[in-house]
Amino acid sequence: MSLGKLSLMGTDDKVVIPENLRLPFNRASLSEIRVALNRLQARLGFSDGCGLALRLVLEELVTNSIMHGWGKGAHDDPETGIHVDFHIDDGVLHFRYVDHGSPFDPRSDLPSDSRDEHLDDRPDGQLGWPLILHYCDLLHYAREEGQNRMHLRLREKVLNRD
Amino acid sequence: MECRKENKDGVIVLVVDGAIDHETAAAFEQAVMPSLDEAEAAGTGLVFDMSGVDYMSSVGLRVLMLAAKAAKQKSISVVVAGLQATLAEIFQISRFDKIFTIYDTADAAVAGVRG
Repeated sequence: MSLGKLSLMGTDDKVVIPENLRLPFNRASLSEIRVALNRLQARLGFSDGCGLALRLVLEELVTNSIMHGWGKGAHDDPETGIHVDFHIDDGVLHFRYVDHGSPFDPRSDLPSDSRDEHLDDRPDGQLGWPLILHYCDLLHYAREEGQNRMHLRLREKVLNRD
Repeated sequence: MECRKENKDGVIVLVVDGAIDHETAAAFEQAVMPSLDEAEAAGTGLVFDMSGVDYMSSVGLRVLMLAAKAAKQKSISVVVAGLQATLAEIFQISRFDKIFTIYDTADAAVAGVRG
């Protein structure tokens, strides 16, 4: 095991974590994430700082899915909502994020980065994805079977924080 | 999240505690906008004392962005004080450290606003 990485059951091999979220497209899902992350933190023993970063990433992803991916108000069927599955690979936390919303490829569909614009020219929002990509690497995106499928990896610097 | 308003030497200080997220951002916004009006009426400025805030997602940042734009229109100063490490990082990622003057403490921020 490498210092600063996660360990589970004494192995560095790929480990699937039995924390599979099935969430509907509604705001109650955001609260469910917080509860699930508390369970995950208790199981994996990562730091509070790491937990806050992971919470931020998942809340931003789910918020985007709810606000932009569905676009027709609340939708209460978790099976056609948002799915999140976690695993550890070489001591690093990965997760697969799937939603059944409108197509959105973050590699090409993000608005231009306006963070360095003058205050008057900055939009009020569009701050979620810069936060997500600060804490995670987006390893893969595909639009398959009516789903946005993403594979993300929490950056090691996040695992190392207090 | 809890917000309480204080008046320090004529400067409005909004002391915020807890998490600013999807559950609390609307209440945060409802506290911020009248505080801007009070600061304008007092002819001074507004200090966000964030020393008790341990989490903020983009919905909270959006409220601060609206506050910064409103403050500019009102020609008043809005500054931030007491950022915890995680929040300071979120400000840096979002370039909010370029929008707001950031002070270590609320007292320093009040002194800064008073000039």
